[in-house]
Amino acid sequence: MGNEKISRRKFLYIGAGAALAAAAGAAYYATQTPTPTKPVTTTTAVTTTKAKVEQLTIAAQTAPWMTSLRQTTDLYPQETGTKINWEIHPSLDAMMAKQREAATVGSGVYDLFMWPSAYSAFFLSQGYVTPLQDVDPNFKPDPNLLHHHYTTYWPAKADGKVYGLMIFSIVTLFYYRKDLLDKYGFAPPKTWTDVVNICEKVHDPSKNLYGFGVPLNPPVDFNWWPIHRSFGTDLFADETREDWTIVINNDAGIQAMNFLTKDLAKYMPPGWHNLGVNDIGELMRAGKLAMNIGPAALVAGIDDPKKSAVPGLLNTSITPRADVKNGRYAPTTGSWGLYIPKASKNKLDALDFMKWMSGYKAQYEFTKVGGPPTRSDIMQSDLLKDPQNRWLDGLRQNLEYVRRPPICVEYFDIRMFLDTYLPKTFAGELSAKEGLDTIARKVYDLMKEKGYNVKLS
Amino acid sequence: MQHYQDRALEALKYFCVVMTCLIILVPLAWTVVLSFETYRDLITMRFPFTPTFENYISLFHPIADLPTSMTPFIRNSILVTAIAVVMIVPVGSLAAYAICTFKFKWRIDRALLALSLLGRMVPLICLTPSLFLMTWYLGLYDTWLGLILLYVNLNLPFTIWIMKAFIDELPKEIEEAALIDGCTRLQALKNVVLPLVTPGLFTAALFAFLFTWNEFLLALVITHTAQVQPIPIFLSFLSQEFIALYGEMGAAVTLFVIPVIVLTFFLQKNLVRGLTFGAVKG
Amino acid sequence: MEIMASERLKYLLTIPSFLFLSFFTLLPLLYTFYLSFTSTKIVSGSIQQFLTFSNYGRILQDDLFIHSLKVTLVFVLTGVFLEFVLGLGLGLLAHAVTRVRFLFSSVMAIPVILPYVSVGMIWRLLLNTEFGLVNSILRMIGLSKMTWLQDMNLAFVSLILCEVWHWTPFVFLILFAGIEALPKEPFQAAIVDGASRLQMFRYLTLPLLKPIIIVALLFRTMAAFRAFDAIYVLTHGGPGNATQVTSLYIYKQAFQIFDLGYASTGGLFLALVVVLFSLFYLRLQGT
Repeated sequence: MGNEKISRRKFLYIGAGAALAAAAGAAYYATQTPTPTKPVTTTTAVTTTKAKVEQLTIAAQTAPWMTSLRQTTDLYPQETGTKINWEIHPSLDAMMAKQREAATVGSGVYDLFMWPSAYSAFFLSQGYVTPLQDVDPNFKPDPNLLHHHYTTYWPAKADGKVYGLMIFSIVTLFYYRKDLLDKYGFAPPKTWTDVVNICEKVHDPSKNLYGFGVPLNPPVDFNWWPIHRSFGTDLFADETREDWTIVINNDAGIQAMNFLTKDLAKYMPPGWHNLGVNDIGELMRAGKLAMNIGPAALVAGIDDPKKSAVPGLLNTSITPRADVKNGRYAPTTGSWGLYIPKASKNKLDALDFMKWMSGYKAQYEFTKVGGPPTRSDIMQSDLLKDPQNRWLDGLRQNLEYVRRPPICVEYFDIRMFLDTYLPKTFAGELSAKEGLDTIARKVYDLMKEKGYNVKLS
Repeated sequence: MQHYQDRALEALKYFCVVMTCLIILVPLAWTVVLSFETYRDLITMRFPFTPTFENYISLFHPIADLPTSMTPFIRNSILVTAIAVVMIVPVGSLAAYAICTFKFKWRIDRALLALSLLGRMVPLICLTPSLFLMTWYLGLYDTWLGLILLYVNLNLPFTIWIMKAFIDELPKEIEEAALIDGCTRLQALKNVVLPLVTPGLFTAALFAFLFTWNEFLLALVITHTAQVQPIPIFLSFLSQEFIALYGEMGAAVTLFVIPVIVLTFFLQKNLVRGLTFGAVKG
Repeated sequence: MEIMASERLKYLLTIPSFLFLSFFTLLPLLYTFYLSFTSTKIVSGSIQQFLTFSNYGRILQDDLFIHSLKVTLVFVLTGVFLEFVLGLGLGLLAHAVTRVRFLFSSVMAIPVILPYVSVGMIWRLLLNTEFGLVNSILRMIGLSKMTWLQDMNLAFVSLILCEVWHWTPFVFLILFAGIEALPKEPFQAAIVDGASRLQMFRYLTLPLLKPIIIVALLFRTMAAFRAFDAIYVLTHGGPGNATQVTSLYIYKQAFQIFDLGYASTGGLFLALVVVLFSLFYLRLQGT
């Protein structure tokens, strides 16, 4: 009987403990009704009497430029009384999914849209975006504001209206180690031949120093176009003028691919054909790359001694062109812009914010805290005096020649072809000609099916 | 000669044991050490390095690079796991008890065991499209309740299995004796059976906790905001497009794993018994 | 009166479990069957659904899916085989070692309880080309560093490494318990009869352990087919499609391409493979 008493007590304790835990848990749960659609907000409090609309909501993704952007937009309420409510998503896909949903449903939950130009085709062609001149007939784009290769226009409509405004620059930059180039007496390279010459002197795997690096894992396009297009070729002959002749696999294209996989690959780190942007960033900051191509966002932290082993040693310059007949500088632009949704309830306030954010003052503040600006006057301002901002010069150089990826609704399918066949070509499974021809064929079939006037070259 | 051979063999055996232990422990220790290094020291493999708590702090106060701090995820994990475990153990154990002791008219016991087997055999990934749609239609998408219900369901087969093995082990006579003494079924259950299977209950609870705490795919499919998502989802945020937050990865893994190791340290015997009961007893 | 209470009681005790399993396991399974005969896509936040039989035809011709099945099969068979050999070896080793047995088992229990995502993450750090521990060790013994996660073949090896590290202890624990539970008499008789160690192993140990071995292998095989978490974090199916196991492919179809009907079809195929393997094992156990 004694045993039974003890075990009963034990049971009672266990039972009581479990019941308490359950009750506590249930009570907590009951008082904390989860709100699945509640955005993750990062706004600051506002104390001003000039009340227009209380806040503007914009979707965004986690990215290095968001820190600078948020710090800058925190200044907006002080001037106008309107908060900027950033809804941060962990990835570009998540952010785009929410915006697509909002657009098709017409919910008006976002007062402004934000995305890189590759997504514009879908939204603009479906009429989910209101042109700026429709919101304010007197609107004229600021000539100092760069449009990134006609991104904010919609050539197909040919109405001359501006559909969005750029607020920061995500473009390809060419990064190089000034100390290494100075050591051998080299100037920043302008052509790929220059790059190879520098690599020959500098590349030394035994000391963990590689001559060149470029992120080439899927999605391949952003960092691969600068190399491919620098030989004078492109995907289509001129899609801004609706010439859909496929030229990706012409002689220049094959030459470009062979250059990459045979000549340049010698100086790249092992596994080069599958390195991601964060891998290249890691190599850069560890001081293992003499030169590399990468998005402007990699500038973040290169001078931070906690993140980088080479503070102050990295500079930026123009993405090289090929030493061939039609060779050209061809950095890519992601062209992130703000757009006004058709369903937005605060269009005038949205336009005001867009004008403010792309204006001189905001861009100046934005650049001061490390953001990549998109105004030509900022890039010649006194900000350049600060050595921390030395990359602005490289940005200015690249923005002069920047090219956007082809904008058409089918671009995402085309990107899938690139992501399927280019890695195989890089790895050597397909020859340059085979890989590029396959891509050309796939793109041709797709575009033909969609009714474009497409030709193979 | 024989002596030498034997000693050499002994030495070899112990060497293998030590090597295996190292292979298991060194990666874990290395990850913990890594969590105290700054990004710069990490990627250049600087040694010696100055240890820092920054990675841990940045998990909770993200300055840049993280969409949200780890706090809501920890809260979600603890909440959902606690409630799920408290629900699973009684539900599963009582069902196991019923299957073991009673005869069922329409073979419901067989049906229940068959359902459990089905639950264990069909990979979860196969059911994710339909679970996604189901939770969407029922309004359980992105809610704690949805997660809890699905976690309970996930763990029921194993709980029933384990408890059935434990209860089957008990000699029937003890219960019969109590019944003859005049107890009702419930009293017999409470006073006689329960104390005897307590180790089994702890084992079942331990496994339910482990499987729920560690579950990733289910949470990935039926949640999508930080208000509801458990810790494993947070871990997947640490590898990003522009920078892979290695130090934070080490820190997050360390924090995530500590409760598991602590709990298992106290319940070691239960762990092994549970694993082997599932196996040895077939 | 007592019998009536029993009746009510036993249904009361089993109904909750029954409801859970029916609603969240059986019903989704049936729903998956239904979905496989539809084209269910999420387009811009809304669900578009219509009946079709094309999923089945499409999946049998889908190169990527067939490839993923191959990858999964090689992954499962290689992994389980290695885990078995190592687990058995370590089990025998632990049995032969008298002093540190408990400590050894405790250490071996650790990987089993670790969350899958954590293990994937730990190995992601270990296998980093530049600063990973594995390459550091390789460098120490004079070999050159390897691009574990970038090379198509090495990425697959990385998967196996991660999986074997994570689960060999599990197999070990089960087999060790089984070895400990073996009766002593047959072995004593064999020694008297002059049998060698190898003979004892082949004709006594293995046959006696057979039921446990089969159960351990069954568990591991079923779990290996399900492997998702660690692979998602370690390689995410890459590079290219080198490590894209079927579970990852299904996930991509369902939640990145949002073709839920097609994903369900793939899921059913995977489930079929798993069930076939399980039946095969159970058959072995029966003999």
